[in-house]
Amino acid sequence: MATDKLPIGRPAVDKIAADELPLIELFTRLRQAGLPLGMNEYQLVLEALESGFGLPDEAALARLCRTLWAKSKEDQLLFNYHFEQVMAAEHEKFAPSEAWLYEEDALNNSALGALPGQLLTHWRKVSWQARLALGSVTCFAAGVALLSARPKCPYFTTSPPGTVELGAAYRYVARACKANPDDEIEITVLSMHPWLDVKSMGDDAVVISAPKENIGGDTYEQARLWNVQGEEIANFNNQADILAFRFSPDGQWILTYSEGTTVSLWDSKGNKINDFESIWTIAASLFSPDSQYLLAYPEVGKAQLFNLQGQEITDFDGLSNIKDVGFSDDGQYVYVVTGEGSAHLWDTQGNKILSLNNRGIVDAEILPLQEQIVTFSTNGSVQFWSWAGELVSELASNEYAQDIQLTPDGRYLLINSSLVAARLWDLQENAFIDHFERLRLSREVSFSPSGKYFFWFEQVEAGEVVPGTGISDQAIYAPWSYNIARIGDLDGNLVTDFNNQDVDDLDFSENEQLVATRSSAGKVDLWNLSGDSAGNSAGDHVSGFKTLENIDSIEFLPEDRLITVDETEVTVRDFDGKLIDWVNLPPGIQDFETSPDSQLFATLRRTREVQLRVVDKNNLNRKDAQTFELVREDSIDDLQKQLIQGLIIIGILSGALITLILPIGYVVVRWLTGLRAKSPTFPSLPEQQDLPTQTAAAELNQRIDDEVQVAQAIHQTRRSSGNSDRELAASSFSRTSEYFPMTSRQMKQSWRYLRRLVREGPPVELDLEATVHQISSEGMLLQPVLRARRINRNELLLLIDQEGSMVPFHGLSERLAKTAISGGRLAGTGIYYFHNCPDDYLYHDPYHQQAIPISSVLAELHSEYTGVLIFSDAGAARGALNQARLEMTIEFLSQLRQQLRYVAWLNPMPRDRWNSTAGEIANHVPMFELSRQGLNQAIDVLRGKSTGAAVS
Amino acid sequence: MTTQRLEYTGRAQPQPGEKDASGRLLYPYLPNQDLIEAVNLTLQLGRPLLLKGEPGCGKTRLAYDVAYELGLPFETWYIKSTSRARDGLYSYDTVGRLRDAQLASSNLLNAEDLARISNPATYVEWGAIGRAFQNSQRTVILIDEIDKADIDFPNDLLLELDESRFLVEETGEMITAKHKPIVLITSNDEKALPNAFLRRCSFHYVEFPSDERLVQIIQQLFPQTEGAIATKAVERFTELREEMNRDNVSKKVSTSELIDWFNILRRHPEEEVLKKLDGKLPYPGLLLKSWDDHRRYLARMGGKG
Repeated sequence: MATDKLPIGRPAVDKIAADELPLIELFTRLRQAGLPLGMNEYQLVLEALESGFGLPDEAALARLCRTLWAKSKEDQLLFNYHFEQVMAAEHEKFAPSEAWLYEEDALNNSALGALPGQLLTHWRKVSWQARLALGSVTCFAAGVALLSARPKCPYFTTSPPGTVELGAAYRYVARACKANPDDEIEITVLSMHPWLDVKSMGDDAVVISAPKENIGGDTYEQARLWNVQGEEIANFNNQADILAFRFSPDGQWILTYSEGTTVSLWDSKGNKINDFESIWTIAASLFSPDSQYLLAYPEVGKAQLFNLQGQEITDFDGLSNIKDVGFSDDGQYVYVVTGEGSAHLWDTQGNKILSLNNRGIVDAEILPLQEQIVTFSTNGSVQFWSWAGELVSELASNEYAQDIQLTPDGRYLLINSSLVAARLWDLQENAFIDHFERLRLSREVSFSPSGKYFFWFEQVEAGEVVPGTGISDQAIYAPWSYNIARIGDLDGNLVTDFNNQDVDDLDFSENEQLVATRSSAGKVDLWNLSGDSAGNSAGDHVSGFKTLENIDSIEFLPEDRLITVDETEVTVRDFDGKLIDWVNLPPGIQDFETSPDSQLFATLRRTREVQLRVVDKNNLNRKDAQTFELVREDSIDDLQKQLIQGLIIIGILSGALITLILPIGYVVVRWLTGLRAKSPTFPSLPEQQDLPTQTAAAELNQRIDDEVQVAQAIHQTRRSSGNSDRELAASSFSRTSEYFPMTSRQMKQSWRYLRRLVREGPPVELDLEATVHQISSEGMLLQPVLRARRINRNELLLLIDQEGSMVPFHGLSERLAKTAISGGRLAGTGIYYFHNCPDDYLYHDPYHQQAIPISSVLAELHSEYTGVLIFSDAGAARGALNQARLEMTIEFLSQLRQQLRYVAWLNPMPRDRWNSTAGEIANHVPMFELSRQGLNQAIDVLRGKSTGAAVS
Repeated sequence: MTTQRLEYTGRAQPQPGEKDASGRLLYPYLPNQDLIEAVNLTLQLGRPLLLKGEPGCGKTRLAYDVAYELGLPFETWYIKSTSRARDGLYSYDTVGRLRDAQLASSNLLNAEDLARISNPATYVEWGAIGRAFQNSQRTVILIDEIDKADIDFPNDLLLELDESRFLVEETGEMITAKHKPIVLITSNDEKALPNAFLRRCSFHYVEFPSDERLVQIIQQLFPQTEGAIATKAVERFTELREEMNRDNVSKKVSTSELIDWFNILRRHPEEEVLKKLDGKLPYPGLLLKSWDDHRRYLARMGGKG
């Protein structure tokens, strides 16, 4: 019973080996991001994993690694970001980009509906160019569709991948959304491969995991027994490979047929009663009408009669070559017809009553009341025999009959002929009562459960005109070949012809007032069999019933309900077709059996899937199901491959599209910055929201924004400097958040080198050397000699270029200022702002509100201890040589130099972008790019190190 | 090292009025699940746990609670700006020895004293870590506010924390820990800690408790408290905190201040407290610690009710 009924909440059992987790990847990324990690730390996590930490789910793993690897709040945010990225990449390994799949779905729902249908159907035939064009349309449509056409919550926001590589270890989180935070949703596991394990992770997510060695097994059969209320009665999963079921007529017993040779008998509670070692199949076994006996008649070998305890009552003297067997309606007698044209009669105690040898008998029926047996021979005659073996009477017939059947009440004998008609012989009146003209009988004539009606199916061929029957007078042209159905009553009247519609299957309601039909295309209709108070007459549609589509199977339930099975679900509906309830069963049911009293249902599905369903408890119509299948990676069929291919193309195209938008974005940015907008925030680029890649926490997004902006600004200027559209399109631009010029931790560390220690303040430290010296000179210790502590006297003047071309670097400059104040432990830090070039005044605030003359700033500084660091692009982001700026800057620098000795320049643009202006300025001042190394070099300069190397 | 597996649950709470071995009053402590997991990880891996968080959010208290629940001896080392790494291991009374040597040279000491002072170990005074290493039981060490010391201070402790041993230079004695201690380090983040040191620690950021948790804490500490008062007080407190948050004030009101404040409030009868809480912020001196804050928040919040 390892699998379905909600294993959620089961304690964790599986141990996940560390090498199956993408730890190395995560570790490397964190190291690159500047976290202080060594191999020791990696070992430590492995050690913790071994002792059981971090295994229950992804969140626990995150907690573990966060505790051991992140060493500050900032680190934790970085960690969260990278963890999500790595995990997302991990999931993507298995599934071709989820996001795109989703978009594709949404697309089919809405946006593409407007496109010509042919385009869709010929998608795989269209040329590359057409795909290209369609792809770009798709991109736009997808974005729009995503926002507008997403299904209402709940749905799975992260869906499991469609396939899993064989032999791969597997961990996946399926998470569902809620429409409102306090909505109650429920994730149920509908079916699951027995190797897998599903654990709950809060109320909106589950983790599916599988150990490496077991995955990739073949399909397994999932057989379940459940009642009308949808409750599972039994689950036959521990019975290997069940292929089919049969209910006993009283609904108390179920036979299951497995691959191989095992037939098992179960009671209706799902307890196994017996195993039969046998080779018979469902077509070759039969319950007695009173559900007391079981008759088995394999094609090869002897027939056997069992009682339900599994004891063989008789093997019919070892008769073989069995053609037909059957019980009498009272369950007391059994007939056996063999291929030699013989018929034999036995009672269920195992006593032989009668043998009719070699009489060309094809079929037989038992009339227990009359103590007669009716046989039907190849020559078309129907003969009645007494139990003494005497011929009682004979119905001569020139029709080539195929079959005889007794009505359930035993009153009529239905004689089927392939040529003309089915005829009803009244056994009491000894007369034919009528006959029905038929075309081509496609299946046996059957009776309704009460025996009041009988029905049959006829096949019509494509192009045929089906004539009217008197009930519906209209002839119908059959566009394709299908089955039509007829229902007749025992008075010989045709009750309904279902308007000659396609009927593949039908079911009578309990009181036989209604009949439900299902067409071969899965369309379900409901019909009246007798007139009702609402003015419907027999043969009419039930008014108000909403036709259902795509139904695989249909049954009536007591209390005016219908149960329908389709690809995705089993639902209970009322006679209006409205959904009342759904049954908690997995989609994809292949076999659906109802017990004769409609109280029990057995379902069978062959699957390699895990299926999850999420339901809004308050609104059953809101639901979503997800499936993922365990398939060998190499067995993904062509269609899927093509789909994936298509998706990749779409992905590439979207990338191309974004690159097309970029220049426009750049122009906008240039324009905005040119306006010197008062707002210091950088306008977000239009394509940013469309990218499906960003899932990092909003909190973090904010934090890495500056780095992203920096990356973009640099990318843009690189591009625009290329000055050629071709280069723009050809280069593979990708917006990456991997560009971390420096983290605040690294900045703080660098600042710490900026120190000049001087002994100052009250004498508190013991000067040992001086004390010893004093003792030696005085002969004894009078008192220890103390000295002042060493403190950092270095002061920093940080001048930050703000606005204009520096807008993208605002986040960076803010960080630089912040770390200098908090992490530098400097004696004093002055931060002032300017625009482009300081011009008589500096500003206290980034918005250039509080001005202060440069001269008074400089006057307050200790020339000996103060270093000036200028943070500006020096015109590098602009491009052309700006003579005015250059001159002003040089003048300012010389003004600084008169007062201060240490001046350095940090440029956020990379060195190879230092064009004429910046390059010229770099000749006058040591200029470094903003990187870890650059900042360290700049600080070295501020400490008084020679600047020769840096300038060149 | 010890093989016994310790597990911290955060559930064992001292009774009101219960004192520890050194006579200090113990208070209940309510850690959240993440914190408990981090502590257990530390116990398991034998690494120091570095705790950061706003001042007053209960970092120090955690150490007391861990020692209390596990029933282990507890050593504290409060770092001051003048602390040196060696202070936590041992201190050597050089001056005392010098004095004794001078007394000896002037023949003021008897033979017994002479024997004592000729042993250099006499002048060793063990610090918190030194004592913990020599303890026959696993010991919980709290190194409180490590960021107060010099930048290089944490680096000087690397060997001691890593290999659990140190050398007493004056005597040449190597002290090796009998049981690896459980080290909890708190930092108020006034200074960044060096990488090499961080590398050897696991880290947890103690979040400021949620409102419900604050009410729980108050009720644990003052069991006779009416729920309504606790909720009301916490509400008022959170309001003030959010106000400060908006202004980005560096020193925000913290849990410990809330507790002090509430301790005073509860001395009044219930109706009076509720009335006070509705009006002008009562006892602002316990919450607002600068004149600037006083002016700003009293003006802003006073008009209420």
